[in-house]
Amino acid sequence: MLIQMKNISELMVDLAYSSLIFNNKEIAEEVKYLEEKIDETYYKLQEEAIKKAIEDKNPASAVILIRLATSIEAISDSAVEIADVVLRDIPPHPVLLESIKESDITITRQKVTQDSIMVNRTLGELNLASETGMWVLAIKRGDHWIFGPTENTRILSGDILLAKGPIEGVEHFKNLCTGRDKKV
Amino acid sequence: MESVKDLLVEIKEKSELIVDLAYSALILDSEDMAKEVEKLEKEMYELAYKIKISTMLAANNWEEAEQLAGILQVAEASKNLANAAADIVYLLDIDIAMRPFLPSLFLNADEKIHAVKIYPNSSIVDRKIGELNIEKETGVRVIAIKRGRRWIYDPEDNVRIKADDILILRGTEDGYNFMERVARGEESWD
Repeated sequence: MLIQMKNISELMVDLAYSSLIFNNKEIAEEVKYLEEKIDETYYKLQEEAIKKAIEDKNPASAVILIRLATSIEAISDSAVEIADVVLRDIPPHPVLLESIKESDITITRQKVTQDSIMVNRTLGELNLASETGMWVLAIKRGDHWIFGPTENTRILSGDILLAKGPIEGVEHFKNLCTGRDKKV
Repeated sequence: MESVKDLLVEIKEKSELIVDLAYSALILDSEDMAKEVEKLEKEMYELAYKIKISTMLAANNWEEAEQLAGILQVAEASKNLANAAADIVYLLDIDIAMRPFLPSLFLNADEKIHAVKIYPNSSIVDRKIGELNIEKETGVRVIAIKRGRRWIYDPEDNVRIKADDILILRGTEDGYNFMERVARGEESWD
């Protein structure tokens, strides 16, 4: 459960910055939705940790687990705070967008065209993160979104990929999506 | 507003680093790293404060203030995140006998943290981090280097890797496996 919380909280922070950079309310809403998931897991974890502490007659591990989960929950709260900027009806200040674009880990988005080598292959097969340094955070497919895709998620022609990674990796990633580069 | 942008870049980069280092401190059971997290937390507080002051000076009317409020909110969020990361490392203050499971807690997380030792015969000895472009090539990021008794956190592009360095890496399992073979000199970087 703790690992699940950690994974979700990291996705939330990345999505929160993505929502800012693209001024996108759908992504910001997803951050809020994930916050509910975190809270659910957080309560379940507290309950189970305390049950186990009573059984074992030893509170030490429960205290540590709950404290850690509390910190992770606080990290996810700060992601919600960032996403909340987008949910107001004024566009985020341009300085915010520039600051995300210019930091050494940046966020980019690119449409996958028909002749891209990514088409019909899963993220696991492509091994994109290891080969290009770019992590796919979300995929927009037609009207709907796939947030936090897994190794088994297959990329289709027309998908819009949202990815995070080092600035140096962005160009190669974009070229892979458009079919200009044929090798991962 | 130029200076606010630079401050925001700095606080965002530190936000990523502080969370990585906080988890690394738990996984590696490292007091040194925990201290660095606490130092980063102070720096982020200071940055958030500076951002707030500069932002407030920039508002001339209601509309501008409304847009600038978003910047204040991001600064506040970064500060809260720093605080949460620092809380994570305070767990190391608990008696070690009570927390034997901490280092292994995140073994199966999506992005993993590992330490690798660089052997003298590795092909990346004496090469610069920026020149190797490690993150782009392997999907793992060097978040810190332990050199003898001292640490280099978030190493710059011009830092050269030396024999016997211990690199703290965060990223994919494949990327880490490759880095480990390279570090041992079993596989060439090029």
